[in-house]
Amino acid sequence: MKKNGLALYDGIFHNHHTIMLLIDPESGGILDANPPACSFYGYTREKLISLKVFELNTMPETQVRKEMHHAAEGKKTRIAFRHRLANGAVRDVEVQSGPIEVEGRELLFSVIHDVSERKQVEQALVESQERLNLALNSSGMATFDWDIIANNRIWDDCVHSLLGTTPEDFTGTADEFFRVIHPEDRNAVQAALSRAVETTGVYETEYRAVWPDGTIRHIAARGKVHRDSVGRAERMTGVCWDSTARKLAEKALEKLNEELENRVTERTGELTRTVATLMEEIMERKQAEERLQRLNRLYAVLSETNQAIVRTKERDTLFSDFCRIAVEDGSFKLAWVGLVDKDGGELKIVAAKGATGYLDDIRITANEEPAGLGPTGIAVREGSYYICNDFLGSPITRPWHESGRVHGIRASASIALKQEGRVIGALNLYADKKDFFDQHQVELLRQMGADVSFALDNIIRESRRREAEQALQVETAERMRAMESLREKEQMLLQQSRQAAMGEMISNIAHQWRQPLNALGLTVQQLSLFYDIGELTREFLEKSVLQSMELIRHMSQTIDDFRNYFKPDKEKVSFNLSESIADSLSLVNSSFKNQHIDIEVIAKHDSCIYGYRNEFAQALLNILNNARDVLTERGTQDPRVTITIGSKGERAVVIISDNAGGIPEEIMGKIFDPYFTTKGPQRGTGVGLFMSKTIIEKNMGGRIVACNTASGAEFRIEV
Amino acid sequence: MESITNPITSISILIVEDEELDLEILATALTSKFPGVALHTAMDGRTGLELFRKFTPDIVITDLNIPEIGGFQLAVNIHSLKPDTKLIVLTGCTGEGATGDSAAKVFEIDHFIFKPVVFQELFEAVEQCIAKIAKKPVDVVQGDRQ
Repeated sequence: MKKNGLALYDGIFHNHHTIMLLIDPESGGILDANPPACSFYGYTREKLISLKVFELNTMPETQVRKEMHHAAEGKKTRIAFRHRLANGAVRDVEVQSGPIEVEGRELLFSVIHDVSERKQVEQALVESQERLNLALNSSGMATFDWDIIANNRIWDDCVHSLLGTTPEDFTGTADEFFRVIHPEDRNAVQAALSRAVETTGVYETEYRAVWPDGTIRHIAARGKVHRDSVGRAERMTGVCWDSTARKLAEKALEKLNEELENRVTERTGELTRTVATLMEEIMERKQAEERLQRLNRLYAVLSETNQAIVRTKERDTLFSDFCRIAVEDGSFKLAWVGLVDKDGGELKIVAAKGATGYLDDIRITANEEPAGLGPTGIAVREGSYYICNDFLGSPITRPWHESGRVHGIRASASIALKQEGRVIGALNLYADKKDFFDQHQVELLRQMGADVSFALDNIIRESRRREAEQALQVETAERMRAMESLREKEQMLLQQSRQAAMGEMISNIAHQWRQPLNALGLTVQQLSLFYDIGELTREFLEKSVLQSMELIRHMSQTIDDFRNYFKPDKEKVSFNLSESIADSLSLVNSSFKNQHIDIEVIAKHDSCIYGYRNEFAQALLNILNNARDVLTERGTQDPRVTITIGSKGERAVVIISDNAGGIPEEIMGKIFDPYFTTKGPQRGTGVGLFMSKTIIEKNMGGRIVACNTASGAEFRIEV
Repeated sequence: MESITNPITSISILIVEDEELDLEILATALTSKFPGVALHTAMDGRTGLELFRKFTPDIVITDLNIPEIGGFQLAVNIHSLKPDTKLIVLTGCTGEGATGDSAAKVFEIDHFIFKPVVFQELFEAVEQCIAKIAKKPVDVVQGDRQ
């Protein structure tokens, strides 16, 4: 090794990164400097070698020599110096020097550490510490540093002014510390310390310090636990300060607070009273709201009831609707409708909804008995209403107290139900609250009672109306039937008239044939006669035959006329008035001639009629026959019938007049009546003129009137 | 004043009938059956009455249905003029008016003949009337009747 000493020296000295100098202790001259030294001092090696250490060191030479000496003797190993660099900057260094023998000379080997920074930091730290101390001191705060493991505390001097201790008697032991603390607070402090150490890591507490002279100071302490790498608490650093002043302040504050509280209490008392008043008000308002709500409910019931009234056609539906509405919309506990049984005076329940269990086995009457003295009974008897706002407490509801209690009934209202002004029963409502029914409610209930009564009246009216309608229908049906039968009778009348007319016709035909038959008979007999007397010549025979044939032809014509006449009119046709008259005349000609009645036809203005041809002819015929009969009966001299055909406006007019003397005044109004005849039962059927009137007025929409002229009757027909 | 020598040959008959044909045949039939009988004809009541007054026929045959004065009225008038005139009434109405008139009850018609006229009936009626006349004594106008 030693052999390679130079190499070693080289390796160590020149290649090391620390600043190394080799110094001659005698002269202080730098014998060697390594590159770090060069770069540190800022000189080249050559320059450094030329310098003395005293030139680097700021300390006076003597001082330096002294230190060097120490180092050479191995006494001081680390020496603090201040070295000047080439650029004039001064740096704090720590020099470790030691003697070294090199080639028989005693040299000094120095390692130089640039501790400028460190120094600076130290300085800063010191300054900081000083500042801290200043701060703490000026704020009356003392710092402590508690070595947890050694259980040793280091306090700064301020502590004494806090704890009343002296440096002599307060060295930092736990005991000393705890002695100072007020006995009552010791446990708390210990607990706080333990807590900080074991868990939170934060120390926070307040305690009283008892000074030697007995004064008590309130101390507040704060600290922080520092842990080692494994989490074990090593030390705690913290501060504490006098919080007495604060405490006093606190106390004052407390007192103030107390005062304040007193005042507050006072005020609160006032407030409480105000609040109480307010609460009362609120309560009142609430009650009013409740009342309103109840009222609204009742309005709802009323409204619904009215709607039900409008809709309902049946009494029972109305009642059950009312009960349902009361319970569902009005939230009543129970609603029922009772009708008074006329005989017993007992109320029969016809509809109910809600707590109907109450009504099981119940007996309510309107009689003078306990069962009739309840709200319902009173309402019915007096025809008005009764409110019981304390169902369980009122004497009149006694019979039903138990049942009421069971079913939750606390108040009831009964309103009389009227029909056409008579009391027929009552509406009954039950509520589950005492004093439920107030004046407003009562008013509404009365209204409801009135509405329901109105509805009942309506229903009755309606049913009466229906009955009347039905009766009317029945009557109408009967009337229809009567009309039918009347029509039938008319038909029959028509039939009879036809038959009568037929009778007339046959009579006419009899007349018409009588003559030809007679003539024919004579002619034929004459043949025989002439034969007997031998005067039956061919000529005479011919003549007789011709005469006979003429007669026969004439009779045949009558048959045709008869047949035509009796063919019923199937449809209306247009026909000439004059033709129709001619037809009729042809049918009665012989009978008129027979009676020697003159017929005159004056055709002022012929018209065309649209109607039933044969019927019309028949109508005329009846009148003509009548005229003939009258003329014959009265034996009128120069009997004559005049037929005038004319028109009036759009209507055709036929006037048939005779000179038979006229229609007697007293029968003038009856002549057209059916079954009215002046001829006696054997001869007249009384239907003739009636049928003429029917035909002309009903079937042809015309008019027929009869009146008297100077000489006789006049029948005027307008169609 | 007339004296009747042969009652039969001096019988006179008045026929009143408004149908011409009927009248003709009746007249022919009567004259052939009763030759020698004086026949007067009229076609209405008034003429008939006039003829009666003029000729006072013994037998009057009249249709009921004649104009002017009806056959019945004619009969009444004739009867009041000379009650014993024989009256034969021809009628077409069966059952009505013929016997129904209450006035008819006052005196009797000698014969009613219903149309259609059967010669036989008519002849018999006339014969009966003639017989009645023949039975009666001749009466003079002064009129003592037995």
